[in-house]
Amino acid sequence: MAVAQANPLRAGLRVERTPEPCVVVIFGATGDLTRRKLVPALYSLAHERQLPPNFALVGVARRDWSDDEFRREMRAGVERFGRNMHPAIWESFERHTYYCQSSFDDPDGYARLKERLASIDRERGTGGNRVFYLATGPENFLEITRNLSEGGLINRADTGPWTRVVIEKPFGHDLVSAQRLNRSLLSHMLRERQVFRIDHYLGKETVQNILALRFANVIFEPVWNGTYVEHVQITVAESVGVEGRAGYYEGAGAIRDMVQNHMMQLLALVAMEPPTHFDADAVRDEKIKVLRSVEFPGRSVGEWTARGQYGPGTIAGASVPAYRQETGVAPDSGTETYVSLKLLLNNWRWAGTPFYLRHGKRLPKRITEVAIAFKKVPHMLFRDGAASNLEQNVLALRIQPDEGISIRFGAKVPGANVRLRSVNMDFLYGVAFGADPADAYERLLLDAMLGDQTLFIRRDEVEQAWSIVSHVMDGWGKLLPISSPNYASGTWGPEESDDLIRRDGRAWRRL
Amino acid sequence: MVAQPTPDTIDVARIERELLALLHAPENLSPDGQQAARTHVVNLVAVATAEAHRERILATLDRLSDHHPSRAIIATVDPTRPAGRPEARVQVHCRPLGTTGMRICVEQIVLESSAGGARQLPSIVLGLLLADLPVVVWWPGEPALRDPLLYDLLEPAYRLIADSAEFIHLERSLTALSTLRRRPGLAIDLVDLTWQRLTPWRDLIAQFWDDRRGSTSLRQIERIEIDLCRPPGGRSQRCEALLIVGWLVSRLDWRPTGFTRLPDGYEMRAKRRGGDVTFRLRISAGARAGINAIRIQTRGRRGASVFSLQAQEASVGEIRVALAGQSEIVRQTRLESLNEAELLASAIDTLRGEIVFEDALEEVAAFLALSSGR
Repeated sequence: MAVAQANPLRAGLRVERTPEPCVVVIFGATGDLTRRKLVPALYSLAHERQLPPNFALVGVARRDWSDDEFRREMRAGVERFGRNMHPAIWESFERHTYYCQSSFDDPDGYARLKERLASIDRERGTGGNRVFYLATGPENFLEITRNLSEGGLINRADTGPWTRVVIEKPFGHDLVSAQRLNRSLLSHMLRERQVFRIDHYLGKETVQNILALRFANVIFEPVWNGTYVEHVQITVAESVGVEGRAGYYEGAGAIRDMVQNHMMQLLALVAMEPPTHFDADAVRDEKIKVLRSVEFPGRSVGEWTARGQYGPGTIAGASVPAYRQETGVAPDSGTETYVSLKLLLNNWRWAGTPFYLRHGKRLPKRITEVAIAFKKVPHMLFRDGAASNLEQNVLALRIQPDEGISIRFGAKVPGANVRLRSVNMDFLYGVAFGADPADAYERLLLDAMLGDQTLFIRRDEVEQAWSIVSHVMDGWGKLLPISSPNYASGTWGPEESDDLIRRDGRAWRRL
Repeated sequence: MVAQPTPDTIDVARIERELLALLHAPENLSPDGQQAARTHVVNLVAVATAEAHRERILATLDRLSDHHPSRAIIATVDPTRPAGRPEARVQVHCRPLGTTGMRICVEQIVLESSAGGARQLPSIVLGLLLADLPVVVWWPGEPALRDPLLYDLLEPAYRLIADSAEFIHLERSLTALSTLRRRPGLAIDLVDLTWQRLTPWRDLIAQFWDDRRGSTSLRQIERIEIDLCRPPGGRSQRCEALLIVGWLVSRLDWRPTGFTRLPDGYEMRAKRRGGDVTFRLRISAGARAGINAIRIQTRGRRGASVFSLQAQEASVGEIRVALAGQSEIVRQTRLESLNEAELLASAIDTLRGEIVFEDALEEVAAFLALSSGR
């Protein structure tokens, strides 16, 4: 990580520092991610004064566009998907936005890119610093990185201008391919400190707030363990279907698309020990310990996992088709669109406390939540049914939408008799802070330019998460295929998932 | 908004009951009949010593309530009001919260007092403060720094918010304000809305030196020019330029050595390690009051470099970086003017114990002392 000298003029200012002069080079510049997320995020950073004066953006893709065509397309993207469009600031931003046409396997293209970057360095004072953002399919990662390396565009040394490479998920499609990808990237081309594996979930304010809640308050951490916590539920529910991503999703399924990355990260943040510092390695050291401690609760994955595929149904009053009826999906597809798991963590803090994870598409609503369900009191004072309406205490962290925290606890119903009832105390971020949170990509792009890897996934995390997910997938391979579809769109998933948690005497939260 | 007058006496318990009744009023329930949630992040005590201030405070608090729901207590002192006990009026403002179906409400209590009744205000305010919430006192206009009312209101507070742009006796009040943090028995943070107004300028100046390669040139600054505009019939807002000077001097550990008044502004001098720094503050006619441009010149072994910032059209500024021997970088950037509610919000959000402003103010006072020969 680059160590910046403290700037005395930054004292008391909200922004602690802006990145050093640099060029961000996006491979896959004509794709959806660039137009919807990356350029709007970079522009927004410029608008928020978080980019250095000496900054430039270069798009690289196969399409035969000019600088002006690229600028026009990106402006349309920012107008549609971004925020804070201000013509004068956009015009200044786009003056330093360029396009370089090349296929990803053409060495001449990389030579042209090198020349262009050298000329930008001269004109813009960008100092040779580069962030290469690979907004491409995973099949291109190695090829692009190899060409950048062979073309002399990567500086692996600790001195001189820096080079960083950001790669988007999926990082491989199973443990073996993830290990192969990491080995290849890190063998001769890059060092781990130069690789920024992005999981945009980690850029969300509310995900980061899990750490703030846990480690900036004294009242939660003492009960944040198996002595007091009865079980934990992590839910990532989506109401949408595959949304034109059938090509990718057919080969991935719910477990690769969501569990291997986002949900494993949520699990790690919820269960980790306090890091010694809030820096990249200290935080990631604690997260990897959680993933390494994952224990499977039975020999057969059928005992502790459930999967499903949605059929036709109704969501918010609208009829939606079955997964197999979606464009690009095989009519006999066996791909799972729903998955739930029970995991145990074999460590001092969580021994014996089950973690239930569920994710599905075409569920009744979009909601992401972590719920910590606490044990009952050791001795109930109130008898004769006074407490029969009392549910267990729950601390729920809502990640999206309506981000907030709610605590469920028991209270006396007013009246002469002693009767208790559960009540909820809600805290909503929108009420206390009002301001719109920045998009996750803004935060992550800024961190990549600053060289801060705290919110990026390290090699060992990726591989450990794949090792868990690969174990599940291997187990499923030995079982009979699911009979699809097994849940209707607009319902909370297949019966098998309810059975999974019901066997432990529990139920999924009603959300 | 619902307003109800209360009787002639101030009964704190009765005010609380009336607020509760307003919260339960049918117009403040959610469409499904759910009771509105009371939400507060701060007790905000605003002091109005003129009718115009009171109206402005109410308008600003309306805009503030979205981002900083507070219990607002507006203490008004009206010298034209007949002598008698202060009176109170209560209001609640409710709004729907996003897609949740919930309504959230904030409360306003307006206390009206004659000049003679003002001494009762602090004790009434004390009874109306919500427990366990921070207390901020906002005094629009020029705070009455010799009036015991100010210090009585500050007693439960942790922060005083003022706006030096409104000071009629600018130099005297800045100097007096700078001594406040050393006043015995008073443990408060000072925040100036003009200081908050300068945040975009300070942010962009700081940005020039975020690049670690530039840190050397921070020690080579030799001249700083600040252009101020005075609109027809208006004021130049010299306080903005003085605070920028105070900020640079305090953060960079310089020492004020000279202050000269000129027909069109000031020249100020400071000593830094290895040399001297000259500040030239120039006031000229213009449409928009306040700082219009800042140019910072450094001289290193390779020659002179100039970092400049110029306000352009509304909310846009131009950055120019001309490093010795390199092409000039020009970029447009956001240089927004914040409205009073936004300034107040950022003043409330300022971290506790954040003394950058107070350090800057102290250096301004040191320069002003040089000018008066003290």
